[in-house]
Amino acid sequence: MSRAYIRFLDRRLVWVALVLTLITLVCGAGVWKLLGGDLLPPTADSLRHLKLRIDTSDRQFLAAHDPDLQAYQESTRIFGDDRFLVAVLEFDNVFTPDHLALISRACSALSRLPGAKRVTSVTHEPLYSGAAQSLANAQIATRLPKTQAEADRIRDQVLSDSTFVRNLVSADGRYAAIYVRTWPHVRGPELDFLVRRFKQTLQREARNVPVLFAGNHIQTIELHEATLREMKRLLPVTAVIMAIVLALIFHSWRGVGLPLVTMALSLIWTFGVLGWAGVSLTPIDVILPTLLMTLSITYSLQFITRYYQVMEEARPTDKVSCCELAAEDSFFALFIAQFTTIIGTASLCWTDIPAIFQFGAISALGTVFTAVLVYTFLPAAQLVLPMRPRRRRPETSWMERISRRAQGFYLRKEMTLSVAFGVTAVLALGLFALKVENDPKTFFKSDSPIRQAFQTIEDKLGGALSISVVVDGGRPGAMKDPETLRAIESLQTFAEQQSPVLKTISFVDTVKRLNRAVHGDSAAFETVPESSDEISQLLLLAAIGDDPANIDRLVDYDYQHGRLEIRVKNVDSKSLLALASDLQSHVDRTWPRGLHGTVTGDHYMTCRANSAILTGQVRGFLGTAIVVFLVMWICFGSPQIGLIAMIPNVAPILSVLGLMGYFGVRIDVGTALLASVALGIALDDTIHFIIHYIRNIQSHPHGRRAIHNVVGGVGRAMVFSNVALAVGFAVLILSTFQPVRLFGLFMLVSMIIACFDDFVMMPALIGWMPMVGVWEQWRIKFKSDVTQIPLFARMSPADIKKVVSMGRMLTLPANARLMEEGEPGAELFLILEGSVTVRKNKVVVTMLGRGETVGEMGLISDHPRSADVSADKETTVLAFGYEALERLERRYPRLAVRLLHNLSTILSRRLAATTELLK
Amino acid sequence: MRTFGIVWIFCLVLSCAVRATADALDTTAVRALMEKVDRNLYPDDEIDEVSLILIHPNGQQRQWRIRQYYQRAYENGMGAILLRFVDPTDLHGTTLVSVNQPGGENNQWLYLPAFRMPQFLADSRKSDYVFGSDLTFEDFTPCILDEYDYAFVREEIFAERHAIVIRKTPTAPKLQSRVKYAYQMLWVDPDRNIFLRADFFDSIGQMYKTVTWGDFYQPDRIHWRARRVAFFSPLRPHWTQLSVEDIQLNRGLPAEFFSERNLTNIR
Repeated sequence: MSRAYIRFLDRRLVWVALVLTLITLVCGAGVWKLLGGDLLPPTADSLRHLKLRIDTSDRQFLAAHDPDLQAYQESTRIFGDDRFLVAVLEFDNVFTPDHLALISRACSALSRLPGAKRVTSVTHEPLYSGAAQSLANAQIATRLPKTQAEADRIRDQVLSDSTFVRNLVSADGRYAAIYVRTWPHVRGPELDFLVRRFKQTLQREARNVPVLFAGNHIQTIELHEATLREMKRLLPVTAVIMAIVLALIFHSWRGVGLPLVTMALSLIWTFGVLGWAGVSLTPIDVILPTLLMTLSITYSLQFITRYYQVMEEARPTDKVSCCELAAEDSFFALFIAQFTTIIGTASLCWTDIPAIFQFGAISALGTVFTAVLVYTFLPAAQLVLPMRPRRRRPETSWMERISRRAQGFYLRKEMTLSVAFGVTAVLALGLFALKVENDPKTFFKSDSPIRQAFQTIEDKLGGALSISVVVDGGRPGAMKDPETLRAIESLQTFAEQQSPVLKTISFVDTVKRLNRAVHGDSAAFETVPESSDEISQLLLLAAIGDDPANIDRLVDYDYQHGRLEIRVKNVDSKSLLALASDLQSHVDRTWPRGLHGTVTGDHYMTCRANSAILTGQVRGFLGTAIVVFLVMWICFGSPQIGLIAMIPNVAPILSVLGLMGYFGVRIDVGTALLASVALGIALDDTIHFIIHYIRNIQSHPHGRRAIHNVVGGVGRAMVFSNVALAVGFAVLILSTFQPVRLFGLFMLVSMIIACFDDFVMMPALIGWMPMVGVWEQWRIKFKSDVTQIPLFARMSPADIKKVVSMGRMLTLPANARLMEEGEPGAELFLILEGSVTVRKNKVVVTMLGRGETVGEMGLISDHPRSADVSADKETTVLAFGYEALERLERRYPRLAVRLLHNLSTILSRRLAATTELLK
Repeated sequence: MRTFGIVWIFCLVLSCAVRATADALDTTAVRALMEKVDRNLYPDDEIDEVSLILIHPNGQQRQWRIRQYYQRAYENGMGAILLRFVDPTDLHGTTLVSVNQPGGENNQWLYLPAFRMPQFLADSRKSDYVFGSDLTFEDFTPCILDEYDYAFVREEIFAERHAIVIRKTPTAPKLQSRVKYAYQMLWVDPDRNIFLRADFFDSIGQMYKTVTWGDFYQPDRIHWRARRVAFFSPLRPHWTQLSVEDIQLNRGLPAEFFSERNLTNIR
């Protein structure tokens, strides 16, 4: 079939080129769209603004029916968006006419930014004060001081107001914070744009005043920008390094160009489709280029290496024959590897988390595109280009060394497996030290501006991150009930005692502050009023002024719901979720009946999203592993073999995760992706190894020889792809950004361990359990007369399959010798196809055909072979040794008895026939 | 061809006529029209009861019933307003009085019955929102016409009425810091001397508020009044709908009525 396909391709080369070019052009336009370009001719300006945009919104990472997401959406619907951007300005003294004017000017400029809903600062927050029969509630911005004496008076007033101190201004009056709250619809690229403008505006307005930026979204965007920046900087270097390695391997332009062009085309096709589909990438999708690069290089090297090997070994006369042979040799294994990867990645779509679904769908699509290119572009290019052997000498000598080593591992399987499992177990023990948590701040260096900003704002001000408790009073007007206010007040007190909490803000603070103001600013009245009428009228008072929506974000229009804002330190997700749990327990335990509180909020959702991403990735990886196992099971027709085939895939991942545990590297959003990429690479190698082994074992009865051939043949492509990828990704270690650096490091480690498992563990595993795949059983072409075979007499087809699975298939070419007189033998051979001739002293004794057995003595006793047996034509036999018989006895004792009974019958008949002859 | 020529000449004549009208309105007619509107909208005093519905962008509403009293002080063109909550019950009796000062400021006193003492609101400004609605105190204030520039913009049909669109720009220096808008676009019904619509624009040209009046009638057979007024602030965004009832004009309210001493007595 592969040969026919190559011949078809050769006849349609022009069409193939046209179709590939057309798809690439269309997808190229899609990539342009994805980067934000329009379909007009590009200009220098439009090129400058091209940028891959990442949608960081939390709702991408939680299922639509997630109760936390629904609670957050309801909170946003009632109170508006609780997200904010924070800037900290450092002065000698905030309270000078110039500095207050600067803050006021900056706030006015920020309030005009598209997407900014509300700006709060020391100058832009109502400052309540009272005297006898007088009440003031204006923002400082409306009456900016003109003299230092006025500024000093404002300083005294502000620093005595708990709403301002350690929130908008530091207690020492040196730091001022500006908070910009956003509209709910401002997400993804719009938020990205707002953050950029926020920074630019403040840097322009602040002039020489040092400004630091913090906040959840600034941190998230910084994180993704740093990742994209580093990927953008280092992935091309990775590609160049890979090109150099390929050049060293192949010493030819096509050896370098074809894998790289395949890689580029698969990236263009995949991202082009995303561009046309209008899909926004999520932070998880950032790994896609790396994944596609890996797959493209691995797949294309399998074909190209086989092409060169065919040219060196078979010496075909023309390029079509060469391509046919290479395709025949590699396409089936490639197809199985790609099919497994597609099923594995597509299995990620079986989730209700939109981001994981998208990642699974795009990965599967990318793998399909890579596969299409491997089956079309690569052979077409080889058919177009002149047939030219590699200028470099084949790596026969060192591949021979590796092959011999692999043979050794096959023979010394017990010791090899003990060592391999031992090493894996020791490395995997590190799993116990592995921490699964997400703390995005640790991605930045401790002296980075963003870490400094968080530190300053936590030390001096009210924190840059917040969670909320949404209070539901169960009826309109409940928020005017003094009992409700006291419950909220008690929660605030409890929250402020928790270590991650910096400050709490609620409408209760406003009510208490106004109560104090209407009582002549007497501190004794900074309490919750006794009656609901007082509370109602104070809440009305809060709405008077230039900022009527001042407390809309804290209490709703019906006075049924309230919101407590809890500012927290930039702690890891686990600690924050623990705090949320404590708060929820406190609410459930202490609040009066009918009053409910729900923990939600921007940072809480980010932590939930991070946790969901992590869970999704781990679950996705496990799901992929299960799917891969099922595919293996189906392919090899036995769950045990499927499981054994999984071992070399899972071992590198366990080892890498264990190493991460030893080195104190946490499993987080970035590092969790390693498992999927590592599985992809290991899986490809394993499938190639197994399929080529099965092919070899058919023509070489001895597993040792088959192992030698596999390692010497397909092993070369495996080494090439592992080396190219390892050296390429090692470049990422040079990154200054920790997640990228760790990714590079552990990719390198994954490649090394995958190589170890392929060439050490795999031969030993095969030695331990010979593999007979279900397609070999199909190849046997069981016919209706199968039960007529004397060895399988009175056995059902299912029983026969079991027996066949315990043995191994051998396909002998014509005239090949199956047994030699005098040599030791421990196997019985059942002729399934073809025929053999038995010779004693070179005299033909008999000819045996389908269904007949030979070598029974070897199975029953350790007797040397009594005659020569050779194949008359291409012959398939089932070799059934003593070990297989033992295994059959262990697992299917009744079947073993039946087999031995049949064997006795055959031997007695043969004995009877011999006796008859002797008469 | 001949028909085309006639149509072309007709259009030319029409455009010249419109242009001539516009030129006339540019100068004295606009001022005269605004004087008529001012006389219609701001009598000596006025009492009415207003139902307000404040609509939050999340769809939630607050409903208030307020009795409002207005007096114009002709000597300086300014005036005073007194707003007293009738409903809901927990706000009943809450009263705010705002007295405009000749210098452009306004003095405000608030009486919260639960605290039993009128409070002087020291930082109050005309541009402040009234109890969180979309109304500001400047919406209640008659303007001194000389302090503004009125420019004809166009004529059009608005809400099935012939309307003259006028751009109103504050010119007096004292107004620069006291009014929030940089200019207003007013749709004036020249037959009834009332506003049909007003759009408010800030200094960067963003429309931050729009008001529409509807369901007009003459409570005293002289002055035209709207039964329904709708405010919309697109930048907040927020809506306020007013239903005005029981309008009484020129009832001879004394000036003392608008003093802080009266806040505790008024029923």
